[in-house]
Amino acid sequence: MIHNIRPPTDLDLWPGGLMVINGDGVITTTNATLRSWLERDKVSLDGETRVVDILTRASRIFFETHLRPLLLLEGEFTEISLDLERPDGTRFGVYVNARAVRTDGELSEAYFCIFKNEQRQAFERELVDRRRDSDEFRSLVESSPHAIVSSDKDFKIHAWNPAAERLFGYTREEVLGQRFNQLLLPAEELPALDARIPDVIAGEVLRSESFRLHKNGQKINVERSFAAIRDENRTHTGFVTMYSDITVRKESEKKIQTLLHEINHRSKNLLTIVEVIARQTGRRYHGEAFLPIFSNRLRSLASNQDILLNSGSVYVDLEELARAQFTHLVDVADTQTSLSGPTVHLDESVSQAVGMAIFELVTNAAKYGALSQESGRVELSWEITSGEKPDLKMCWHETGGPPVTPPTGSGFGSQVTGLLLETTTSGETQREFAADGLLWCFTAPMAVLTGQS
Amino acid sequence: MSKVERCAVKVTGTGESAIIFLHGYGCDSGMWRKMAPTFESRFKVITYDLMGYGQSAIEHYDRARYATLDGHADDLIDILDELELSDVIAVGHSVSAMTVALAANRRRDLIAKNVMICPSPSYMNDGDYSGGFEESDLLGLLDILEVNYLGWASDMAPAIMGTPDRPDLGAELTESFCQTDPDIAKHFAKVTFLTDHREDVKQVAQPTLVLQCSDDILVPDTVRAWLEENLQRGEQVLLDATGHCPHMSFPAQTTRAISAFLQPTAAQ
Repeated sequence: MIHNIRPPTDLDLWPGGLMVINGDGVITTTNATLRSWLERDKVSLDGETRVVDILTRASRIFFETHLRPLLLLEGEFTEISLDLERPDGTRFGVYVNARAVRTDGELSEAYFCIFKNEQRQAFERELVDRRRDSDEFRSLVESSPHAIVSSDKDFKIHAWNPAAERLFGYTREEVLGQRFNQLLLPAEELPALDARIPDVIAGEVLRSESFRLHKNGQKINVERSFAAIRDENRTHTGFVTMYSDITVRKESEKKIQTLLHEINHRSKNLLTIVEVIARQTGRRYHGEAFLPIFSNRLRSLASNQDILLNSGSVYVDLEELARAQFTHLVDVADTQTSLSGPTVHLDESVSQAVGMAIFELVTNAAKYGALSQESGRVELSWEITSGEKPDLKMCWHETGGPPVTPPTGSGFGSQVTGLLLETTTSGETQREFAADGLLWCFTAPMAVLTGQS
Repeated sequence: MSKVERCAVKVTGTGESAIIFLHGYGCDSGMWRKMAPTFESRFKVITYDLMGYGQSAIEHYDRARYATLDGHADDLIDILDELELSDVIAVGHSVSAMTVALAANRRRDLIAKNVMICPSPSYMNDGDYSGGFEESDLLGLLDILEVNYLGWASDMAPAIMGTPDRPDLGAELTESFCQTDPDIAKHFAKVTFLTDHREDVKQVAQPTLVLQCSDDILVPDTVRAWLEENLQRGEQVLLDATGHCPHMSFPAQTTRAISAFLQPTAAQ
């Protein structure tokens, strides 16, 4: 009869898992509840299995790095969530309390109470997932290249991401609680924003390019989107604004505008010059003679344009420009010409005039002057005079050519080497028809030539 | 604030040589409680808390700096420099064995000998190398850390951004052994279990004692074999001990093994 009564201390009756391990971490005792959860029998568990063997691999790492040290030093741990694993690989979540028995400072035994907590664990995992989502979203905002600022209904800032710190210069701590409209908006823009607030609350998103204030007081060109924040009940709770720095874009837009104007201006200039060239050339050359001369002169213009483009800037190197004027004279030997002088960067506005003047000199020399015969030489040299307002002094000197006779008329050629050049550069030109060759000199202020005036 | 202050460095003992102890992942310098004092009669004994753990000044836990073990190796070097030590014996448990390797490679003048307790150069399986774990195991560990730290999680509401200012849990948390800021625990878990230090271990030139336990789920046989083959001046000793923390479970045996390795130094 007595055999039929289970003693109240029968551990198998307890609705929780009970387990004892020895100092080596081997399970010595388990109760029936734990064994049924694990789907293991007493023979395979007690005395045979290590505690880590009933844990999932992740739980093993946690046990060895956190829990065993806790047992050894603190003697116990409580309310730890772990995953246990059955032989078939299925797993279940438990809460574990444990207490150690230590002998001479070393662990001799440890007692475990194990509570199955699948429902609660599912809830906790759900919370963890939510938290992860929220963390993920947060890092998204933190890493955003756009400044993101959110505020409550009274515009008091409650979020300020690192991009906002970079754009506006204020740290998060400095702005939290401040009203963003007073902090970031130039005073003149406040009324306009106030007028639109009802629309925003009604659901409109304001998008515009505008200026906002940096901490240092400077205005920054931004593109901003401004919208209302709503909670899950669609109740308006605040505002969110996103800003992108568009300073660089604005600058390049401005540059493009300037360039367009420039191109327009230059095209008109070019057409005027072409018209002048045509008129002047036509006055002197008729019939079949017209076209080659006209074409050559246009080619000189074109090569000046190339130089302008190749230099990629509004400055043109004088030597490069001068050299380019000789390029259409393929039959002139290098030994016949010499170019020398310091580096001078001509402003675009005068380079065409200088280039055309040299072109005229080259063309005339090739036709009638020193370059028309092999013994002739041309020396083009320039220097910069000293003094407070230095001049460029450039001389074209022909030698060894045929006898020179001064021209009778005053055509376009003499205009581009004379009046036209003088007017463009505020300079002076001098011409001397010496017996052994032409000497032409040109003097103009460096300030005008380099565009510094 | 000096590194010595930031990492709650404790210096005890007297001796010509210095021995420094670095705790492993999950705990703090309290781990050495049973072992470090036995060296005090022969050595200057230094223990400290890795940044983020124990009594360290966790406000200095910079995720970028500590995104690899290099940040911790820099700390070790700074501490030894601040204490004006050289030819030190560096003892690292678990992941800190790799921190010791990094510092030892960088400053051969500073560290004369290494002791690595239950080290693994890489926990992840990679081709022929069997570190014992897959990435999914680590992700599972992160889950467990999350759930167990849930009670301390700062703000469950999905804030749009920013870390809602954490109530002053930090101080309270770190006062208890093996507990720290949950975000730091997760961050350091990734650094510990996802980084591969096999190439660094191959470079270690100092005499190195490797203590392993016969039954350590974090260091499988394959890892022990890899260390045997690749550590230039390594001496691997298999302790008659189980688990991953022989310096806590079997401090006497662990101390004896280290003392035997250091005997020549101690006799000088």
